[in-house]
This record gives sequence, C-alpha cells and structure tokens, in this order.
Amino acid sequence: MSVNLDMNVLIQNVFNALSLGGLYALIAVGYTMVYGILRLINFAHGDIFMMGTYFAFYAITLLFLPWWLGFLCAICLTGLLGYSIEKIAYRPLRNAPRISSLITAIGMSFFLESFAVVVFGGIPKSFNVYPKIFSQVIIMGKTRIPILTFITIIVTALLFLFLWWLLYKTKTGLAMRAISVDIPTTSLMGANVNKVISVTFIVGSAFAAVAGILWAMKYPQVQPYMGFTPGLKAFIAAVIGGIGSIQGAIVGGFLLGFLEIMIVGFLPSLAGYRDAFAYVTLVVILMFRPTGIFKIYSEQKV
Amino acid sequence: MKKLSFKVNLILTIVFLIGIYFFLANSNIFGDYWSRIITLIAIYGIMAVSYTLVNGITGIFSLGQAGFIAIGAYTSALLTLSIQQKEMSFFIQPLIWPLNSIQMGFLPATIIGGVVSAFFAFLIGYPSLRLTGDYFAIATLAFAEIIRIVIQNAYGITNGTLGLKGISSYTTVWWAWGWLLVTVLVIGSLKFSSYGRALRAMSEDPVAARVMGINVFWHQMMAFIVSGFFAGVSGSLYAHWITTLDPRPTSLGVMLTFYVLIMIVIGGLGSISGAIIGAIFFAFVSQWLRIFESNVNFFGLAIPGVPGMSMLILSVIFIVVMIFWRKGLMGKSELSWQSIYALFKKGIGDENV
Amino acid sequence: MKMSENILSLDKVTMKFGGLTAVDDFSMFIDKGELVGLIGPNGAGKTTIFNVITGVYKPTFGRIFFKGIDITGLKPHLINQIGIARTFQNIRLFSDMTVLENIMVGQHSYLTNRKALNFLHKQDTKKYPKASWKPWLFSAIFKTPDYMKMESIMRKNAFDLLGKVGLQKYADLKASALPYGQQRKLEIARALATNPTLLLLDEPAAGMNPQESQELLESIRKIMEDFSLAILLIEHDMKFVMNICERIYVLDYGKLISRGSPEAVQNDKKVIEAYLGDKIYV
Repeated sequence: MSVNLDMNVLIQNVFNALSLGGLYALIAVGYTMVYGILRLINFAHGDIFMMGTYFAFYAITLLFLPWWLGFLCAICLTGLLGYSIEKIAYRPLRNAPRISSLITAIGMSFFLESFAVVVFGGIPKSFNVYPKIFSQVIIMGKTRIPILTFITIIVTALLFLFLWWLLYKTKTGLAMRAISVDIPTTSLMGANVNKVISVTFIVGSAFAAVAGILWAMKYPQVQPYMGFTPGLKAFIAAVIGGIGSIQGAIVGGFLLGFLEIMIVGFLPSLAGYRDAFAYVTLVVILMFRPTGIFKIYSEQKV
Repeated sequence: MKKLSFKVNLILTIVFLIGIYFFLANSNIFGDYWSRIITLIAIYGIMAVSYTLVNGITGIFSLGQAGFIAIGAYTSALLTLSIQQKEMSFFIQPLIWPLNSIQMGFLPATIIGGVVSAFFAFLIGYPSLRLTGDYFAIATLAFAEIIRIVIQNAYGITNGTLGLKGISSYTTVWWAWGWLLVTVLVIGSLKFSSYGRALRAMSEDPVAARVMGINVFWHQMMAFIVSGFFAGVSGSLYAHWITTLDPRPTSLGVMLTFYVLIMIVIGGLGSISGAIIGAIFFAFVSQWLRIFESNVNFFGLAIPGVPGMSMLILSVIFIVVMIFWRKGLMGKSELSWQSIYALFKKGIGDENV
Repeated sequence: MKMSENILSLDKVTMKFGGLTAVDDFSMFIDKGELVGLIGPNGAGKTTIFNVITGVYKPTFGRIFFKGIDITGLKPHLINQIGIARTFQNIRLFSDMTVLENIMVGQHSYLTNRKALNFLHKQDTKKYPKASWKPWLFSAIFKTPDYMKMESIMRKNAFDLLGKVGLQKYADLKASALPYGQQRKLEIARALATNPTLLLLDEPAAGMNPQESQELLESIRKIMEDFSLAILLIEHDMKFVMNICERIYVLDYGKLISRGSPEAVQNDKKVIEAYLGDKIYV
C-alpha cells in the first residue's frame, strides 16, 4: 500500500472533496428536510436527482434551449416532479404505519428508474450540453483545478445561503421548522401543513436537480441508475449529520466527500472499495451514535 | 363448519402434492422454457418466504436479502465448479486455497451455502438489530451493498467483476420445488409454534413483548438467521439455474431485494402462502410483460418493443397495491383448505341465488 | 439483611431524562402478599417508576431489589422471567392475535427462561437450581413429542387462566374485538400467564364506570389470593385506592410527599394540596 503525500495533490484533493461533499450535501438536504417533517426516508430522492439531469439533457438537446435556460427549466420541472410524487404516492399514506410509506418510497424509486429506462433508454448518454469553458482547467503552479469544481463550490454555497434565508427569514420556513417538531400542534396554530410539505418537496427536489446537473457535468454522462449510489451516500451523509437536522446534512455531506476523496487519494490501492467507505461509515455511526452528530430526536416515550 | 386441525390440513396438502407429483412425473407437458419458469417460481418462492419471515412475521424491515442470496449463490457455485473450470476462469488472480481444490455435489454445496449465509446473517444482525425501524432498514441495505462491493473486488475469491461462469445447471424443477417444500414446512412450523406467537407479538408491540418475558433481540436474531439460511439456499438454487454470476447492482444487488419485496408486498406481508402467490405472480407477470419489450407484429403493423416496460408496469402495480390495498392478497393469514372450501362454497351459493 | 423479607424494595431511586427529573430519590418496599397503592396527580412520575422497576428504563441513581436480589439495570425480559409482571396504562394487547394467543405469548418465556434461571442460581445456589437446557427452537420446528406436550399444557393453562377472569367464551376472538373492560381483564390475565410473584397494575380502573370498577376490584382481590401475589397498583381514582390498598405512597413532581395507611394519607395536608383542583379528587 503506497501512501501518496504531495502538497499539490493535497490541494487538488481538497478542492475535489469540497465539490463532491457539496454535491452530497445538496442531495442530503432533501432527504433530511423530508425526514424531519414526515419521518419518511424518501428513497426516490436519488432518482429525482437522476430525473433532473435527464430533464436538463432533453431541454437542451430536444428543445434547443440555451444551456442556462435549459438548466433552469430542468430545476423547475424537477421541483414539480417532487411535488407530484408527494401528492400522488406519499400523501395517501401519511397516516399509515411508517413502514408502509417507506415501502411506497422504495416502489417510487423503482418506478422512476424503470420510467427512465423506458422513456430515455437504458444506454448511458453523454452529457455534453454545457459550455465548454466549464471543463477548462485553471493551473495554479502545479495544481490543476477544473473551473467546474469552482462553480460547484460557489453554487453550493449560494444555495445554502438561500436555504438559510428560506428557513429563518420567511414565514414558510418558520412553519417548516415548527412542523418538524410537531405536526398536529402546528396545524392547530393555523399553518397549512399540506402546503408546507409541498414546499419542502419542491425545494428538496430542486436542490437535487442542481446537484444532478453539476454531477452530470462532472462525470459527463447520464443513465437511469445514476441516482442510486449518490442518493444512498447522500442519505448516509444525512444520517451521519443527524437526520432531520439541516446543518447536520451539510456537515455530513462534506465529511463524506472528504473521507472518500482523501482515502482514495492517499491509499489508491483501496480505490475499488471506494463506494464501501460510505456504507462502513454509516454502520459505524449507527452502532455508536445512532442519532448522528447533531442529535435531534430523543428516545421514544414508553 | 368445524375448524380443520393442523394435521388434517397437513395430510390434505401432502395428498395434493403427491397428486401433483404423479401428474407431472407421467406427463411431459412442459417444454424446456416452461420448466425453467416453473423452477424459477420455486426459487423466487424460497426467497420470498424467507424474506417474509423477517419483514412480515417478525416485523423488522430488512433490505439486505440480496446480500444473503449473493453469499449463498457464490459459496455454493464455488463449491460445485469443477477444478479445471476454476483454473480457467480465474485469470486475473488465482483462486485461493482451499476453494481451488474442492469440488462437491449440489446438495452439500447448497446446504453449506445456506449455513454460510446464516452465519453472515448472525454477523450482520448482531449490530444491526440494536437499531429500530428505518435505521435497521438502512443498515441492512448498507451491509448488502458492502457484501456486493467486496464480491466485486475480491478477485481471489469471487473472480471480481469477471464473475463466475460455467456453473452446472443442476437446479431442476424437483430440486427447486423440493427445497421450497422444506422452506415452507420449516418456516410454517415456526410461524405456528410458540416462537411464531412470540414473533408476531413482537412485531405488534416490542415493548409489551419485552415485559412479557420475551427476549426480543434474540428472537429477531433467530428469525434473521433462519431467513438467512433459506436465502442462501435460494441463492444456491439461483446460481445453478442461471449458471453465471456477476456482482452488478442489477443482478445480485439491491434490485433483487426490490423484486422480492414486490413479491411479498403483493402477497401480503407476513403470509407464507401469500409470499408464494406473490412469487408466482411476479414470475408470470414479468415473463408475460416481456411481450412489451420485443417487437410485435400487430395486424401487419410493426410495434417496436420497449425495453424495461415490464418493470415499469410492475412498479406501478406495486405502488397501487401499497396505496389502495396495503394488506396485499392474503394479509397476514394463510391459504388453507378451509378457505378454499369456503370460497368454493360461496361461489356455488351465489350461483344458486 | 432486612431486604430479603420484602418482595420488592426501591432504594433511593432517581430517574432523570436530560434536565428533567421524573423521579427524585424515591424509596419504597412491598411485603409478601401485600397490596400497595401508588398515587399522585398526572405527571407525578408513577408510570416512570413502573418502567424503572420492569427494566424499561435504567435508573440514573439508586438500586432496586426483588426478593433480596439486586435487579437494577437488568433487561426487561429477565425481570419478567424472575417474577415481575405488569400491565399498561394505555392497554397494550397484541390486538391482531386472538385472546388465547395473547395469553400463550405470556407463557412463551417458559421455553426460553434459562438465562433468568441461571441468574437466580448465581445469586443463591441453594435456593434456585441450575437450569437445564433443551433445544426448544428445534423441538418447535420439528414438532417433537415433548414440544407438542408443552404446547398442549400451555393451551390448557391458558384456558384455565381465561376461565378465572371469565374470558373463556372469547378465546378465539381477536383481542381488539373485546370490549374495553374485558381488554383490561385480558391484559391482567396475560401478565398472570408469565407466572409472576409481583404484579404491577397501571391504572386498571381507568375509563371504567363505578360498577365496572367495583367488579374489577373484586376480581383483583380474588386473583391476589388465588395466585398468592403481591400487587403494586397505580391509580388516579382515589376512592378505588382507598377501598383496596393496605398502604399507599403518594408522589408529586417525582417526590414522595406522603405514605402510610389510606386514612393517614387521606388526611395529609400535603396530599390535599397536591390534588387540589384535580377533578378526580372529590
């Protein structure tokens, strides 16, 4: 096992980890917001992420929209998709046992994947619909960092600022935070629970779409099962941070990004096991601190 | 009508099975294609019945079934492959000792596959069963993925991404249905015993079960291990049915868990006969829906096939069942001669009216 | 030690949840064959004490002795197998199972109580014999003769038990189909099926009309004699407690505010203050 230590490589890895972690965090926020409110693991979230990339791909190649408009359309459409999924599949089961809604979410994930195979085709498509300048590389001394990495980091930061504004400066955000504590009481206080849940799904799905587009530009291809692994890892990030906590999801996302990049960066012989790190981390976290870093829920009362 | 006893039910079932045996043994009505499908039904049946023991009867929600199936499949395939075949396939890295010098029969290999799976069920269950609800589901999913990734990378044991090829197709209709019978007898006997009552009680209210003196953790573990054993057996049968194994997510990965989940949800979580009905349904429907995936000539009009259509339709059925018919076909109850008789009687009664 | 005379004793038990102290420095004892009441206004920490005794919660401080054996921090199923059974304030039957099956679940631990027997054996080798081991799980799967015998004994015992609480005619009904009052009785019968020496009843008369609670009172007295039990009873309804209990502990905000005979407690100024404004105290 050779350990690779070099300052330039380290800087490069830090940037890679920041961008990968940011993407995980963007997806994880969607998981954690839904879980915080409905106590539901939205298994389909990774596939919503995948649908976002397809929407962007077809908006640009089929409708000939300029790239920025295509991306914007895709983000809006994905938000709408998240809204419809909640309304069609999850709302009828809101008072059912929690396992039933979990099973439905798994079914939804399965549905979106098969839908993508049928409608978009199972063969990976090259996602070369973004301006070429994004893939250029900035050279600083010996370090080479793609512009896309910077864009990813900046976009992620801006979206988190937006999320902070939404949660802490708007009435909807207040209602969201209140509902995550107690649905019945909040609805008694006059908040429209359905509306707030819809907003949660729209925002979470739109974030997933942004993450999806950035992801597709980074590994320039799209395919129907591309959402599974990032989705599961982002979920793990949310659990590591303490599911239900938005700060937790962000911290967990970056933690996971760093862990993955750094282990592969410094121990290249473990590259084949790259995907397993997240799962092992999850298992370890669940064993020793099941509530994650930011503990939100206390023990159930007997 | 008086309730039929367990014995009467058992005798009727055995008579029924013997009848079917003579019917099948003396006729050759199935072509090769159909006999393969019928074998697959039994394999799916074992997967579903073992899964429903955990997810339905015990009431803990595992998503790790595919991991145990994969362990059983790889273990038994490595044991039955001929030594020359192993030397031929493992060209990136030779197979480790002692697997490279062993070859054994199908039955011992299947049993060992089941035992190894059961052992992994214990290893995975021990930490995971301390978690509850969604957390348990995710932990088992993570473990199943870890198993798959290790299989994908351990070239010296599993041949990694190259997979195993040339596995003898030992799994006949008789092997598969024989093992299904064993599975149903064991898990059915467990369900209708004092242990089964304890499992059902735990699934309803673990806290109340605990203060009734039931060690919830070890009972869940017991169910998990028994389920793991039969999942391993089904994996072995599957390996010797499909004859090639590879660790892609769509073959022995999380997709397989979803398929089995579809079966038990449609059949009714917690019902053994429901699980088998679900398996039959899944096997037939996924075969039948293949017509959407091949080109069809409809009155001179060529309709191109759409790949993936069968899974799309199945997933829609799955979601509709969950939303409108959460109990599935059987709920938690079992198909018995009594219920068939009642159905039959009701049908005649309706005709008379 | 004096402890051994009591069937149960709590020694300075404190239970904290985060910053909240649900039970504060609480001590009590129950003698053999005694019926003791535990009363107090809502949220006084009565149910928490039950949860601490039955091992659902581990106390923050303090020790719990059962028949002179320290059972603090033992797992709930072991505590039950050693001899403490309970009911719940909000009935927690296995509602999808039949009435008979509910009772038989209570008997399941006869097959699996080896660890509890060995725990007792370790405490007192003379009094408690070492447990013998039998592979009951395999016997159950393969339906061996000794398992079938055990099963029929369990079934018969369960029927007898149902007869004692007058639920025999409902044996094959689903537990959720029983009327409310009968469900309470079934829960008590299920607790009795675990063969306890101490029974904890959490508000058994809640939601009953005076006639029903009178009936319940009589059947509790009968059960106590038939099974030679000690009973600890939580109750909100003061009259019910005054009629039945020999001694009473009064809790308020997790603290013991009074104890003694029903008359003494009834006239205690602190008790009256604690209950002031509480509708049930008339």
